[in-house]
Amino acid sequence: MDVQERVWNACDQLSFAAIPDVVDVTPAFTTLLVTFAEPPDSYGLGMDRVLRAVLDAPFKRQNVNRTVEIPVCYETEYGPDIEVVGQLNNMTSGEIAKLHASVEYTVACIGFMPGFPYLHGLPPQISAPRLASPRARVPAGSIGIAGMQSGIYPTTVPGGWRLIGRTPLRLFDATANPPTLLKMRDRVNFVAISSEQFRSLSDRAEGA
Amino acid sequence: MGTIRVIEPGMLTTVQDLGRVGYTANGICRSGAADPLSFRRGNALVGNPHNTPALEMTLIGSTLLFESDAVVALTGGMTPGFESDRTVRISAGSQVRIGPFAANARRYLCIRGGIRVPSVLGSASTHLSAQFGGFHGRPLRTGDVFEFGDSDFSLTSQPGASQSPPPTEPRTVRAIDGAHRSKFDDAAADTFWNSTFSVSNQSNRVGLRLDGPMISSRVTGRLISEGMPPGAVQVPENGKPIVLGVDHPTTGGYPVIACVATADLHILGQARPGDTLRFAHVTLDEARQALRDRNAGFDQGATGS
Repeated sequence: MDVQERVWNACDQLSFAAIPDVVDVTPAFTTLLVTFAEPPDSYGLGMDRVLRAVLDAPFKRQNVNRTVEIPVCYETEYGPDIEVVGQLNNMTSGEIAKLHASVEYTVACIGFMPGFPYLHGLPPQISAPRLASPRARVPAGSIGIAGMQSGIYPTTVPGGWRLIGRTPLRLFDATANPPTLLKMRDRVNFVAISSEQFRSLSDRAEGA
Repeated sequence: MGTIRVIEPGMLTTVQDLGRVGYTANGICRSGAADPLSFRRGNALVGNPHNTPALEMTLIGSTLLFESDAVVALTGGMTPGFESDRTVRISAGSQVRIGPFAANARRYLCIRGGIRVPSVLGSASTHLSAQFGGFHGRPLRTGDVFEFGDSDFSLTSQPGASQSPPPTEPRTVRAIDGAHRSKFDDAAADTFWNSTFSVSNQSNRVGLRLDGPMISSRVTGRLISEGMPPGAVQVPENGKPIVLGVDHPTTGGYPVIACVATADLHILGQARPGDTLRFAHVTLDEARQALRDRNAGFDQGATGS
């Protein structure tokens, strides 16, 4: 079992066990951060042993893998860096878009900001370094590449990843339950859409 | 129920409580009062449960028009024009000007009955970057009118934490070795623990950026991102440490040389640009004991939520 799978499983186990003193678990690629209540009453009981007992117990995953389809418009208007990413990899924008949408990704974790999925699975032929100086404003829904990492910006923030497209879907909605479209372990497929489709889907998302 | 009208919001005035827990796996940081001790003391002074929503003001306070009678307390430090750390009655029609603050970055205006805002994902705290929680997910603006009081809890009286002493320079926070201590050689660690840093004006609720001697790590570029707690001291490639605050990104990829003890996070919350800061090296056990000691003050006889 690879490290990522172990992180996911440990996260599920700790979440499922609902240990009163554990108020938060933060999965990442190779680590799981556990946040305790202040002060954790069970320090006296040996919190390390409590965690170890949970992690060592047999555990059957409750959830199944979901696959989420994410429409993306790869036109330059929505993916301002797609041409440069193409130049860096000796490809046209069309080839970058096609390759990007040709594979299935896995959500490693949601991190950095609300609803931001870190994705495993970027084809190495389309990797690209971060921008030398970050953009002051990355529009919500932008699909970004940084080295071998890729992700989707849920809300409009400053950011340094190269932008190759944008989805009209909302990845974060504080009033929804759950508040994020994606969660760790989800499979993600990107489907290319035109700018007309982007606008009509965006209108629908706004109206929702 | 009463109302208060914002005449001048000040630099950054938000509604906060003690923060939002349980959502870091969704990328949602804790938020909440940057100085939770002053926040709790203010609520205790007006008889509110300790997690009651209140205003957090930054550097330059607000001018507020009370449209109803209110019982309030202002905490976080001495403030021109307003008596702090006391329970104060304010009559309807009074205009109150709070600040600017000569020392300490933040003040908490706690109002008996609490500020009425919806709970979003279990908290009234404002998440500034994702724009939710608090008052419509944003800082207060001129002309805003917010409501207070008439909460569904009975007023209780509970002790707060004792008043924190006025800041002395340098501010010193206890910290343990960080998860990536091995990415720094001993000389870099010695420099870190033995230097006095200055809080840069690029600092905010996301983090304090520190100026001072360069701390070099063995890392080129970034590490694989990991979950980050508030108080983590990250060292990016430029060698200038960043201490994560209450609005920190939930994951980060810079090496962490140290992590500030939870018991001292409120000190970071009061540090302002130009203040000096040192880190006192403690063990994990010492950091835990510091938290127990701190909490012993306000857990004693505490009631309410």
